[in-house]
Amino acid sequence: MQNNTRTLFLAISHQVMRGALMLLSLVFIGHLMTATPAFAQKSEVEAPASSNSKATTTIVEKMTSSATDQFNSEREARLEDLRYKHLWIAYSLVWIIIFLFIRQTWQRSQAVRYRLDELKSRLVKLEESEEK
Amino acid sequence: MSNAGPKLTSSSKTPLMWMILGTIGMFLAHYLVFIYAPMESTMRAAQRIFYFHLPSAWLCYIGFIMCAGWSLRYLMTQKSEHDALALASAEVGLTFGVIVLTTGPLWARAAWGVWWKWEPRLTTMAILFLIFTCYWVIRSFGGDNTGIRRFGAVLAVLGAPNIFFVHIAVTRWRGDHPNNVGLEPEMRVVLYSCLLIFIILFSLLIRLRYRIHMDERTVTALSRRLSRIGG
Repeated sequence: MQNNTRTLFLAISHQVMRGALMLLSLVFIGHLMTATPAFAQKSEVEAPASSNSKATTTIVEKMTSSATDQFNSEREARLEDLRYKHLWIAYSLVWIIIFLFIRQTWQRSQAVRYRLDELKSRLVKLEESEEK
Repeated sequence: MSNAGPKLTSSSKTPLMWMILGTIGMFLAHYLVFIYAPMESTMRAAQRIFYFHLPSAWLCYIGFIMCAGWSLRYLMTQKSEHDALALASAEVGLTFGVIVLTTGPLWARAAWGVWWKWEPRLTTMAILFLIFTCYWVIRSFGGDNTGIRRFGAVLAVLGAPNIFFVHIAVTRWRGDHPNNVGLEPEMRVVLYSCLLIFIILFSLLIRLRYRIHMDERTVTALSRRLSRIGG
């Protein structure tokens, strides 16, 4: 009974540790994404108080417009960078998950096959000894 | 109650053809998703996550439906093969569920600005995933006896209808999750090709897991037989 409890505890601990390692690796990957989404930033560009002169107003408008355009293009570049990062992370995670599942399946298959072959050989030996 | 025991076999060979098809399919999927598929105008590169996310979601549903179906069959027939198929389906369904719940937030962060929203589709999907995780935990750590198998089978049968709520969540409860988005013809080709490739992978994985579960039952039966004989 104590052995069963111990085995169960070890098995659960093993699975919990594997899950925790997976979670930690996901958190680590998340921290690699250092770029702050541009949509989280506020884009407030206010024009300075205009003077009476129309020329000054026009110059200010032009400056504001070019600053806005530059900000938007930078924002778009950051967003594009973020999208590609997320795509590669998603792509990697898909194959990591599938690979881990296949690897665990193969390991379990090998263990079961080994055990099965061992039991079959014992059975054959037993039957042969009984015949004798 | 069936008295037929599991077949005594140590073969766990997987059809080579499935593996070759699966491998070719992987390379084809890479080409289709990253080269053939056109760039979507709004989400740009992040939209390509959709080609993994949607087939995984469908196969997750199919895995859970198969689990419920084989569980119901097991409850009727008490045959070990049906239970093994149910367990294998749940395991593979959960694997694809993990893919859905990791690729989804990655897309959501790029699209919505948050990793997760408690909106209907995501919430019901999380509940569905938790139900079948419970099934898997019970089957993995509860031992392999008739009582646990029946308990798990009932849980799977009762949990599977949640798939219907996941499916109608967006239309019925006005969620934010994309639904029935218009796709260009090239995008449809890529989506259905990826789905076909994932189906091949899905079938292969279920076959592998089913074989393992049947061999484990064989090991148990042989161990008991040897202990009775005194070997």
